[in-house]
Amino acid sequence: MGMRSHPDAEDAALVRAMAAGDEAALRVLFTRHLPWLRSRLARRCSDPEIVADVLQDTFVAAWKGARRWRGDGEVAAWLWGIAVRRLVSRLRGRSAPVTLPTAEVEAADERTLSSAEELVLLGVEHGDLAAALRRLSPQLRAVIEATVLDGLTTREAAQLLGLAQGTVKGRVRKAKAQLRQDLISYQSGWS
Amino acid sequence: MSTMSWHCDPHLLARYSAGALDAVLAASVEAHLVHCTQCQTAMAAHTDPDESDRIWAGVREAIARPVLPWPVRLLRRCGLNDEDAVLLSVSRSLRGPWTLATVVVLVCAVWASFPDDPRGKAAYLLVAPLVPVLGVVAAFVSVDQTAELAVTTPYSKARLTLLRTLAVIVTTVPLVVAMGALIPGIGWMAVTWLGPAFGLTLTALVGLTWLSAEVIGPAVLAGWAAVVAGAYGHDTVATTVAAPAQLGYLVLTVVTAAVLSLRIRSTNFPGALP
Repeated sequence: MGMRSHPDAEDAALVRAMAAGDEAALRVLFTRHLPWLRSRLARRCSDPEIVADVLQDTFVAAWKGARRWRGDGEVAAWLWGIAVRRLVSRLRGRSAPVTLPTAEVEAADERTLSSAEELVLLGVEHGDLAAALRRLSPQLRAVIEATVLDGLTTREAAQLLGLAQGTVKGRVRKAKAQLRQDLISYQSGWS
Repeated sequence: MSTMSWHCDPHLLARYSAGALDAVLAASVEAHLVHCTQCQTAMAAHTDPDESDRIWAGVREAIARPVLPWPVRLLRRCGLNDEDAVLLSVSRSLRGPWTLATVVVLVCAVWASFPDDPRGKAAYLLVAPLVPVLGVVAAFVSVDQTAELAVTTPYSKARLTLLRTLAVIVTTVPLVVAMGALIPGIGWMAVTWLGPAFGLTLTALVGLTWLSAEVIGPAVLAGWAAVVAGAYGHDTVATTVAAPAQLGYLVLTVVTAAVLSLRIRSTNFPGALP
């Protein structure tokens, strides 16, 4: 079946077509998912060459692994899982940690930026957690992002951030304690 | 997926892809992007199409590449470059020797494990060192699909020769060692045969710079068979891989390696007959 004539096909259908060897399906998936994957990887690695390599590896791996895709969960999440792990293994053995873009870029600007949509987004998705996350130091936030949001193991997170495993564990513990305390004081402030 | 009521506005996506959002906001955008086809598509506006094309070209090239046989994949892991890997995989010289080696060595190794039958050990010592030798010789026997390639491409013949030899050794040596180690009753013989194996392989390669594979193969085979048979006749099979003999093989290896490198430098490559 020719996916070229079905650019609106669902992701799952595309992956099934890929498993059957349909390269046009891979092309549709590539076009749809490359941009956001690229941006998301670029936030974790400042070297555009590495990001491009990782993106290539990701879609090659998706092509080869399409048959093993179990069909549960979203294709986008599956792709991100592949991509972030490829990035981690690509960064393995680098002595200097990759500089992550700092989180403080627009801290001052924030009040003016908070459009209604963003408030909805933050309110719905994180609630008061967003505020608590903001109060974490950049180092603590980085480990939370890698372990909780990117779904990496401690070891993978350590490789991604160029830290020792023990350091990651320690920071996760510290961040959790800080978040818990923050959220409890927030709640008790309202109750 | 697209039934979501809220979507990122273009400005938010622009700032996200420029890396201009703070960590929490960016994480929120990322969480949304995973689930929203509409916003995924909108991100295309923030991607350099030339870069995308380049990456796509890389993906296509990678998935079009044929799957290489496992010994070649192993060599690639160890640093063999892509061109050499592809060249090796088109030469049919790998599968034949490997299958042959599996069967013959297995039979001899099992035989050698019978403790009260010295013929078994003799057979093992006769066969094991010859496996890589015959593999190398087989790689040069008459009908060879890469021969034309070697003529029509500016590919160094010395490199081609050494590559093939390397491929054969990688294919056969670990196999014979593993079988020797797995089957009880062989003991040190599981590795000591490597001495004569290297000496004989290099001898065969040197021989191939003068004579054809059809001559060299049987000659080396006969020579080694005579050595093992002689030792067997005197009831001293084990001496063929004992320390003094190993020293002899070491000398043989060094001398033949030197001769081979001289022959290659004077453009007499193994298998390239005048």
